[in-house]
Amino acid sequence: MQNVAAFWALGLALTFPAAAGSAAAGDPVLAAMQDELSRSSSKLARAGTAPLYYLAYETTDVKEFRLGASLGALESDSFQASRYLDTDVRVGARQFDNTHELKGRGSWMGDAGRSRDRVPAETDAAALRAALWQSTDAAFKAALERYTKVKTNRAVTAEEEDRSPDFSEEGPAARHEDEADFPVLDKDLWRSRLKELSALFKTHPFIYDSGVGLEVRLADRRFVSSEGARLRTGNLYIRLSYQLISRTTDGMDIYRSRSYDGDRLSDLPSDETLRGDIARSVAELKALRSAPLVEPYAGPVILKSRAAAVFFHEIFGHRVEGQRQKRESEGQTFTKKLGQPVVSSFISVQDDPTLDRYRGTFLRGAYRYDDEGVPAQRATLVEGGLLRGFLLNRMPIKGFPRSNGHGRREPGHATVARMGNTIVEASRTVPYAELRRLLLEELARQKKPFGLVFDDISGGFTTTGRGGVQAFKVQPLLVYKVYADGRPDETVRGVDIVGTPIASFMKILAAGDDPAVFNGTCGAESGGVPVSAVSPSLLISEMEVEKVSKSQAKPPILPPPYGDKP
Amino acid sequence: MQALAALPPAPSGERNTTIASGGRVPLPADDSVFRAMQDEMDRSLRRLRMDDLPGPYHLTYAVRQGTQAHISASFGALEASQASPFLDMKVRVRVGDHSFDNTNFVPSGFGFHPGGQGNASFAGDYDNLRFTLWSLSDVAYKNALEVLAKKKAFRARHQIAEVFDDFSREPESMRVEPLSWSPIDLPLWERRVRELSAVFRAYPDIQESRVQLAFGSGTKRLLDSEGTAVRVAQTHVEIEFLAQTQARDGLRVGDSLSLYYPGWDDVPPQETLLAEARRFAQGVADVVHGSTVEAYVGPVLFEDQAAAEFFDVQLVDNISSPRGLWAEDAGNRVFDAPPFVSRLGMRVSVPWLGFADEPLLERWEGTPLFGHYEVDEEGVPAQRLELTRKGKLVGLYMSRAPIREFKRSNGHGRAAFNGEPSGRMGTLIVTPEKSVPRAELKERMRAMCRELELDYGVIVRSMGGLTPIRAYKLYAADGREEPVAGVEFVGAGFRPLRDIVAASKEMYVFNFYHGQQGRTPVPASIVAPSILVQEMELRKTERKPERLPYLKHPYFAGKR
Repeated sequence: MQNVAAFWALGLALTFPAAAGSAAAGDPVLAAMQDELSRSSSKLARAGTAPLYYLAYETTDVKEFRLGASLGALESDSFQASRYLDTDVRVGARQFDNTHELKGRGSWMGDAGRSRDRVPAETDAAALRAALWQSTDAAFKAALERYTKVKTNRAVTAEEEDRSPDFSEEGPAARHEDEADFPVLDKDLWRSRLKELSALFKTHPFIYDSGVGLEVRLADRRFVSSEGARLRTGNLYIRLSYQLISRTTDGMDIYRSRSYDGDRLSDLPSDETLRGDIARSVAELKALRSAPLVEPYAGPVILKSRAAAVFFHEIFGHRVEGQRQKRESEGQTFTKKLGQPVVSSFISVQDDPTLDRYRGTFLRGAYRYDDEGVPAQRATLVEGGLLRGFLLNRMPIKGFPRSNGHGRREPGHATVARMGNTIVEASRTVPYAELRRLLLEELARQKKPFGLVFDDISGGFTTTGRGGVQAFKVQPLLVYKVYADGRPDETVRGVDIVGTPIASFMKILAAGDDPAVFNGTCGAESGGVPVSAVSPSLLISEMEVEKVSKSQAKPPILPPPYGDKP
Repeated sequence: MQALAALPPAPSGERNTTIASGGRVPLPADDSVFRAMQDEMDRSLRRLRMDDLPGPYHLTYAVRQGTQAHISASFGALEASQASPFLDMKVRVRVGDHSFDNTNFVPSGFGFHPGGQGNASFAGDYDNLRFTLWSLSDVAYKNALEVLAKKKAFRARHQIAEVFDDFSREPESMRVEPLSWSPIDLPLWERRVRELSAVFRAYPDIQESRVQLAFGSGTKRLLDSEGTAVRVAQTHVEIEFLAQTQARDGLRVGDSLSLYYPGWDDVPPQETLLAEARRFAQGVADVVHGSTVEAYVGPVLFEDQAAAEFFDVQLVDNISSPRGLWAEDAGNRVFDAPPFVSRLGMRVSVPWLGFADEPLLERWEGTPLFGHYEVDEEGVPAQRLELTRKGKLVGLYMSRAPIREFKRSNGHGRAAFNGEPSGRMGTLIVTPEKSVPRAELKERMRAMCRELELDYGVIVRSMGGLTPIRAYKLYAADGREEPVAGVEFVGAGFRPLRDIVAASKEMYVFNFYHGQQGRTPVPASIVAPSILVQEMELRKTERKPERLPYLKHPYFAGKR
């Protein structure tokens, strides 16, 4: 084991021998990108059947260290460094270009003139430029081909409702360089720490699988565009997480998990906190195993803060992404509701990627520039219950000609408008105890024998397309029944929240003074991007739940090997 | 040399391989991985039983433990480099009995693996391993019961009368090699791979290139409930060159060259690898300037690698995985028995070429054979297998899945670690009874061309499937060669094996992964002479060209 640290140190050192501290002298990678960009954008401008009017390169250098442990032993231990390239090509003109929607095709920006490649991760300009050249040629050809298709498509389909351009005019192109460094880690210490923590699950034979993981991920992005943007910006994502899984005798998979996020190692909790949280999760899982099933129900509920944050992210956030107001294939729930009430009047919602902390807690959705080179900005979405705006990238929509810095993607995807840090706030709040008292009051008013408290919710799915019902479904992981007659709360299981989105937001009766942060990775058309959602606990007068569909698998036949009598 | 992150050093105690059969020898006492496998297998055999349903009649546990690394570079710069330790395991459960069980059947809508796989503690922690084996066994057993029920229903529905056994009975075998594994010197190989990738800076005709190194070293253990125990040490180093470009008419041209070595000692010096890289690059670059052939009927000379590829397509593919599987989905023909099963005893090749598979050979005239193995994936010892006698087919690659003609395994039950074993090749040796020096084959072809009044004959030097990648015209008049781009064979069928007219004395060793549709690739070798085929038909490819790049390659832009 004594060689381990040395090995990893080498692993880190090898990748970017010339990158460190080079910003002042002029970053050679940016220089190579700039050189190939200048050559391509000038020479390709009139080379094809349609003019090339925009070209951008984004590289993302990812360095990732991952550890995974289970039952006291390491199961994975890896470090990887790679560079990804996204090439964005636009041909035609701002008003109408190759990225225009292909109506009636189901797919949307599948081949809109961009490509993703794994490219040389070193600074060697010749090798980098060779990769940029290949990628540009492929993206340019794809853009020309798609441009022909969208022109024909427009000619043969009905006129569009939203005739705003395909690409916005923005202010002066941004120039900025910052660098995030991969932290100095005592990897052996982390290895033994994870082993110890993962061994905590070993004494509980009802746990059928468990694990503890550490992920340290540096994403270092560079961006150059034919409009003159030149950026370098980095984010560090550190995540410690654990999960434990079991199954009920009637075949329902149940699990508890927890993750801790930060951009500094000091953001992670102490061993003492972790041990306490793990013990609580184990107790929760045990309670879930014997918890009764809930019958379909409609009535008042409390969404605890983190659950409420997920709820807002899924049900509200995705529906105010700019492209969903424009694409003809979208349901456009909120498109025509500007200035109208969409949420109870004391609630406001904004998305602010410029914040990296909320009341001291790390926010994973923070960034300085988006993936179209636009500075991150706060987007006001709801003010006093009234819809005020949308999340916007450089695809203009009716009434909103400019981006508000929410163009995001995972490398390899076309950029669309996405959330960053979605923050739900209430103009009047009450302590949680009071919120619970209000729930009991509401139960009495509605003459219901019990209400539900959603303590934890995993991401669900939400359908925003025009073809489907405008419904949503999220997966509650930990739910309590609160009885009107004062009996103690009871853990229940097997419920899914269902319903139609607009209705539920208007039914928020009260909010707690306990905002909390949910950090996660959000998946959509442009891939997985790090996000945060913040909300206080919310009392909702009516919410519908249905029975969850479950597997037919039985619990394991034999008990886990250790501790079993031979 | 410190790449073996967190793996314990190979023990220095035992140095001898234990081989036994027909009588159990105790497993090495200090091997905690074997102990975890054995203990959990014993428990599962005794007690894994659902309600009143039968328990497993056969269990296989396999564990692969070691370190792996991957380095990739293009045009003189690294793209990726990583090394990490791993431990993978797989569990296979059989319910029913040897005559009829849950295997050799492909249920629709879910994977046909009669078991599961997972990863676990790479240091081989006893509790962690047993826990994972327990969890995989439980799922695999339940899955096996479900598949067996479906298979019974399938048999009844289709009124299948002739049923072969599902699993042959074989004597238990034991082979325990000493533990050994090698590390990788990552910085050294990063330098070497980077340098190899820079070779392509001398070839302006190549648009895109990459050099990759894949390394794996470790121990594979297999235990089954009939008493078979295997522990073998494995190391492999693979260096792969990839290049792609477009011919002048825009047709895409891509080729790759893989070199395999069973250990660092076998890897040649950098100078030799650089020469390989240059030879490969030149071959691809040649195609760019190749002329095309509208139509050709005449002799074809398959040289070296192309000859091996010819035998792979013409013979090996037709005798691999002879046990066809029942597929619940009637449209799924992927797992049908291969065509030569019905040609046993019939003539398939010229009588003067002999075909045999010899997996136990480690080297051919000093060159390591990638198809070498001692024990197959079902724990059956590898054996020499005679495939043809005087041109007549007498053997097929057999695993423990019987067919009408062969009831027993011949030690060719092979698959990648995560795959299902089926009858597959190891090292095919093609032996000509009569042969001529390699250079004479060209002269023979020129003579044939003159006789047929053809301007030229065709030489093929590499293929993808049976489609030539590197091909050349050999002019009858003056013996000059000229590259050919974008041609394909028409209507080859099974005829060409019986139309071979000459073979070279020189034998070429082709190491590769043998792929088969629906199956996993297995390491393989073909040792074969270059061959001249009487007559084959070629035409211009049906593939469509693509536009050439709009701009010149930035590196070469100012240089030509």
